[in-house]
Amino acid sequence: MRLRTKITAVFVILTSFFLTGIFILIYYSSEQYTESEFYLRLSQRATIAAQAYLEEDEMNLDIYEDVRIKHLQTLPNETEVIYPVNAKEKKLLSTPDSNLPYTFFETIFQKEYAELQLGEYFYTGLLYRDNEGDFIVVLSARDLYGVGKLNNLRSILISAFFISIIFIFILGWYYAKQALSPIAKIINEVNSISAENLSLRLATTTGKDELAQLAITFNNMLDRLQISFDLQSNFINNASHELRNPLAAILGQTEIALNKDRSDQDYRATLKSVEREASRLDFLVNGLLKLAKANFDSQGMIIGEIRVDELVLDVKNTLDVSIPENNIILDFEDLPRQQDTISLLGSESLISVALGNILENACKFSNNKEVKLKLFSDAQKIFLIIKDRGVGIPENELKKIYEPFFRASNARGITGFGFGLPLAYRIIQMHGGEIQVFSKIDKGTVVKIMLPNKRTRKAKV
Amino acid sequence: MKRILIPTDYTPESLQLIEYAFLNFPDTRLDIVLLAGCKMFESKWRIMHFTPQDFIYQQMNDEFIQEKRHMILEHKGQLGQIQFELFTGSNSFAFQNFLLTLDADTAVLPDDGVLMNPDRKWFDTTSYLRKSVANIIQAPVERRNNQPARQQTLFNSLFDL
Repeated sequence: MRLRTKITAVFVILTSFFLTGIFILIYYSSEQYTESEFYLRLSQRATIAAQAYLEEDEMNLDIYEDVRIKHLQTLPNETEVIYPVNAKEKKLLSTPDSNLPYTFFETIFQKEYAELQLGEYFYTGLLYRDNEGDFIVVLSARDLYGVGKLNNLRSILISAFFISIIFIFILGWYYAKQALSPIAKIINEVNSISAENLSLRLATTTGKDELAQLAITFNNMLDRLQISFDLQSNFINNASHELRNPLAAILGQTEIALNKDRSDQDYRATLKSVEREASRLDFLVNGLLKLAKANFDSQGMIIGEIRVDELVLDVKNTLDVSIPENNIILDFEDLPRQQDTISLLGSESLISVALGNILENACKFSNNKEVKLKLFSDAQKIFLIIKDRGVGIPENELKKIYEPFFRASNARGITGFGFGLPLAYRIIQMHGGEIQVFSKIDKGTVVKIMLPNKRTRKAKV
Repeated sequence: MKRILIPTDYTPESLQLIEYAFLNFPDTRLDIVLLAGCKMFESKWRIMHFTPQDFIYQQMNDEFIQEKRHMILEHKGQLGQIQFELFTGSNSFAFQNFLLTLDADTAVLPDDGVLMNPDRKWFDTTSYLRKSVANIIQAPVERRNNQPARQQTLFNSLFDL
């Protein structure tokens, strides 16, 4: 069954149950009210009749009949019967109507009043005590008006029920169509997206309903897929390009060297050049391996407690050796006293690589101008802020900086392969941290690293 | 000392603009003025009992306050103060008069359109700042989540499929 039909059917069935219940309640209440009203009229008539017949010494029976016909009106098929009784012994002194059950009279003796319905006839009986003795006055009539009213109400309710169901069905059908139309739209749009047009996105609304969330979730998934596709294709292009350059240089130089006999000095120079290109190749392959390891091997890393201030000092010492002309200034002024808030759980070697890469980039792209590293923490996170006054990154390229081999358009003249920051990004992510980069061309770059401290990490684990 | 105007929707992301203020003025001590708009109430009673401070505190969530604290720590030596201001006018002339009281000629604005806050009374001052301030610095704001949608009335949202 189609979802639209299902929703409509459930809607109609539930509403019809509800309406049936309400209509039955209305009919039953009206019936009860009509009956009680008719019994009240009967009892009033019985009282008047008793007074008229039994106190005839005080009132003329003809006058009562006249008043009854003219003013009180008679009820349909109205009959009045008076039975002399002995109330003390609870005995009827005359033969009662054979249609009436004896329990009816017993109730009158007990409660001095009783009501009974036999078929279409309603009976009321009351015990009347007079100076001439005790009597039971039984008055019966048919409630033709009440039955007519109830029949009319029943017809109205049945008609209203069917009309309501028709309306509810039409509304339910239309509303189900409206409700499901975004799903049909999403299905069509998703079906039209393939590997060739991964940039297409689903149209989203501003609402917070489930369908808007579904469309947003799909779009986020497509974003991730597209990034993966782009990364993969860029990675292969860039990696093959970067690997080919040193290989082409090696091949070219060896070919030239082998072209004719050369002096030892020439061979030595060629071998030196080959060695240089091979070292570059080695560095590149090692970098790629690290990147691949950071991508896929987060479970195998050795976790230990790291004091971030000590780690920063170690990285600084290492950089002092590799870049002696660096101008890195450490700012530990706002370090907290509690050791737990400045310690984190993670791989010391990987964090060192990440921090080293970022600091190295800061020195490299600012031509060894001043680089400030500020370290502080709050109850949950450790913050490392690295500021340089380098060339900066163009605003429109900021989104691509975590792609391996990506190099900003204003940094092509500076040596590097473009996987220092992507590697750092993945390492920070592996440690549950965040990295943010703010940059302005010719003003500098700010790299903000936020890492969960030891306490937060333990709580999460 | 320099005063920088920055529009805010009271989200932690909007505070990223402060980072760009310091990037652009690395050697200057800065006073940051975070600016938001508030549509004035229509009833006299609400106007009489309205205080900008209450409105501003109502908008701030824990994340925003925490991020603001981080900013203060990060730029401790260079940051004078972070001040919150509320513009309650309704046109650019009123805004220009309002700017005179702030004594600032530079603003850092988000480059990708406008800021968004779910409060019905809040409005974005970016466009006013763009028109009225002499020195404009545009900067990207990286949002973690989608922008919060303005709340629809319950009845309307029922039929908005």
